[in-house]
Amino acid sequence: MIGTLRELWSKRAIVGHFVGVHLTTSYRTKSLGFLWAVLDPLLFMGVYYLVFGQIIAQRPLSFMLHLFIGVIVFRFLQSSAAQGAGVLRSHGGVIKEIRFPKTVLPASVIAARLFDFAAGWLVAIPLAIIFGSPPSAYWLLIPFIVAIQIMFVSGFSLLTAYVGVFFADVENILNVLLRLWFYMSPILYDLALVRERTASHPILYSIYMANPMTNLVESYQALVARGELPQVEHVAYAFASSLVMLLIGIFIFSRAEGQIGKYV
Amino acid sequence: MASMSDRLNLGSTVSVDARPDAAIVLEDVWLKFRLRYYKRRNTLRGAAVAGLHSLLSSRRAERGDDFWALRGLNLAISEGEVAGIVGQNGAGKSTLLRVIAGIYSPDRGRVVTRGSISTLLSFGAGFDVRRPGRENIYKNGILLGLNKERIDERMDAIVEMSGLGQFIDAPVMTYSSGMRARLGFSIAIHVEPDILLIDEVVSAGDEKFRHRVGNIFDQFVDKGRTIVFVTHSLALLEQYCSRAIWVDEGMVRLDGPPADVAGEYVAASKSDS
Repeated sequence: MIGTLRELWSKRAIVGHFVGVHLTTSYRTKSLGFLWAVLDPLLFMGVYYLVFGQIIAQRPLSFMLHLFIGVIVFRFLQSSAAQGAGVLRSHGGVIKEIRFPKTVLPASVIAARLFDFAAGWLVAIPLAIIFGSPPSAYWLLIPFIVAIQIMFVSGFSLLTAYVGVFFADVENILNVLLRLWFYMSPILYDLALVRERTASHPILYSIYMANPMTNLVESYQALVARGELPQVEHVAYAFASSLVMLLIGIFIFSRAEGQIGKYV
Repeated sequence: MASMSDRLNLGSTVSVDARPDAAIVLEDVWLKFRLRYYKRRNTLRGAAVAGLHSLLSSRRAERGDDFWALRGLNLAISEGEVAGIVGQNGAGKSTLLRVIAGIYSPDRGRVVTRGSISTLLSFGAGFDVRRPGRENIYKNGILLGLNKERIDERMDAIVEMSGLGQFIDAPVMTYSSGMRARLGFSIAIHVEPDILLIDEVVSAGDEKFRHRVGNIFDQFVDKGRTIVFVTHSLALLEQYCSRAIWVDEGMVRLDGPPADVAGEYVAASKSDS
């Protein structure tokens, strides 16, 4: 893992180049440009609030904050994994032409999507001040949760990038998988609701909580939406599962490094 | 084969440890392509069908899944050599260059190279054709290991050698294949690598450019650097190279002075047809 990080650092000029390419294709070609980095999650939040906060249930306006945090947190995973799955194929020409560490490509996707995530916080923080608790010292813990999430997103995206080389249909499967994953994380509803509904089936609750994204989303919600400390077991589980995911991703990807050029 | 002179050898075994001085050593290198990833198996449905198939057919060999592009290739190239690679289409020449470059890892055997490597392996597959030449110089320069400051320093020299003049600010898609080859070549040279790998690109240039390439190669190897050069042009082979290597079916068939190897190669090609 340290070796991979060191290699990425030594090739930061290349990573930087590809981050620029990804951000350019996401934004520079559009008339509203970088505004889409915040507009996109805002619009999704609006749609979800209309459906889940007005039509299906009556929720106060502050539910918007809960929705928005969930949307940007999940979007970071979703767009990194989905784009990561295709990034090696779409750069096949240059991979076959020039030798460079292939981790550079998924890493640059993750970095570009991290940029979007950061832009999302520019809206999340004002929303939190409006609807949630006043700014608290607990917010200083947000970067730690972000760091854990970066590990998880990186590990999972390296995995999708690897599989994407050999099977083009990964992107289709991922679309469905990520949608299911989104609904299985406490974004459109509260974790308290799940706890209540599974009260007689603790095993179901344990299965629900096995999802690392649930623990991550819930930790963000505690910190930002409710202004309280996240539960230690949620943070600890998120950290442990993210570390395992990262190690799996690096292990599988680095083993395939010399094969990728043949099949893109 | 009895007529072969003493100067030629038949690609005998090379040991990495025996050649600590060489710029490039390949020791019994094997490399395969899994054909299934290029076929319908590329879809999950295809993979499921093929997976069932291979479960049912007991013998692995029946699947005919692997194509071995390199089959126990041995080669040592010293610093200061211009090694020309010849061989038929599909003989493994481009695969060999990609293995030396580290783009493909061998499935068996060892590859050892000394120093930095720059590559020019296709007609600008690494170029973003919608962007101007100058921007592609930055892009490829960075990928080949330069930083922006070093590219800035060498920019004028790169443009000068490419002979593109004002076209350097036009999109690469407006270039002819010769112009792309010249630009790619100029970038690869100005990276100033210890080892330069070139695949059949120079032949797209005009006579004037080919003549210049000869001089550039000479200056390049005078500094103790190494060039490996794939070509179908026996004229270029004899013009540029200090040594020729004939690759056939993923192995070195013949290795020696360019004129001798070219002669044997032509004779064999004629008798095959």
